[in-house]
Amino acid sequence: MTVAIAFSLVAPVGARQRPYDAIMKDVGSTFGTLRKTLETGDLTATTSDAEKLARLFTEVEQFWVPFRTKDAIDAARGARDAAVAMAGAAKAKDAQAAKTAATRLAASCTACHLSHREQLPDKTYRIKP
Amino acid sequence: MNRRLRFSVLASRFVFRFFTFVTVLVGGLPLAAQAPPTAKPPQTEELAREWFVRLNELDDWYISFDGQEQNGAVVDRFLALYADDAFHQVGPSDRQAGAVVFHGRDAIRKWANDFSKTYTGLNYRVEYKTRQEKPVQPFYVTEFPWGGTGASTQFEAIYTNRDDRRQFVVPAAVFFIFDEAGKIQSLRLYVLQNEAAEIA
Repeated sequence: MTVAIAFSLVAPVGARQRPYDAIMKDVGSTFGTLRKTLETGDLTATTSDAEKLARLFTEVEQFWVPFRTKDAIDAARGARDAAVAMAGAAKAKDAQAAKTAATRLAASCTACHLSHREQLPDKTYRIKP
Repeated sequence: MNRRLRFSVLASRFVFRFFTFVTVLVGGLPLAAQAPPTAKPPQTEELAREWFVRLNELDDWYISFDGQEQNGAVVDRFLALYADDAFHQVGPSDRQAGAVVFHGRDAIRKWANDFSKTYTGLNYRVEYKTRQEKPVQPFYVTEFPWGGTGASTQFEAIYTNRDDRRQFVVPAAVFFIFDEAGKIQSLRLYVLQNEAAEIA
């Protein structure tokens, strides 16, 4: 019982603390695949990628919530909402709506990167507060 | 004859050099006594300017990939300007009414840490005064009779709230008292929040 309670307290924290660069790399590769599936009209694959992106942006939002940084939280929520909309449109076989949602998602990414991503001379990235 | 002439020339040269030396020595004494005051003010101004540099660096840090706010180095650099028993006084905030005084390194570290995590886009810059097409950023420097120096200046505090990303410009002034080692003994910061203007 004690072990179960302790695990339940620790597990969510461990889940929340997946390294941010790992989440971003997942986002990058998933969004890259999604663009290709959208171009080829494979809406089944688009649905799957969009649903994965929605989960990833929930992680992104959870990363920013403790810092109370409104623009980053809003961008993550905007991206997640766009991913959910994209998944819905792809399921409904509405390729145009899915593409519009993908553009909205990309805009959320750009906004957050402009404000919170900095590239260092060695081409690695850092998170700006 | 030649020997006498040579002796007389050498003697007169010696006398001339001796009196020149004495004249320069005696005449130079008051100048030497005045030298330190003229040398100190620029140093005091540099100390005050360095405070602005390090204050503006308080937003120059990153969040690690595992979510740690890594502002320790910039806070340490800022704190190195203060004496161990320094006073740092700021205006009221929404957390405390009246003047807020931080005494000692630990207390000032807390202020710097909070400041560093609350604001971004820091650009506190000394106000320019321009006359006859000559712009300067003046510091008003004084030397205290008990040792140490003081400096003050007017500046514009430009900052962005980290949480809502709203940017402001606020007129402000700062008064420093430096000890003889050049550390801040006391600092009073006036930020006129009633005159704050939001930058759209």
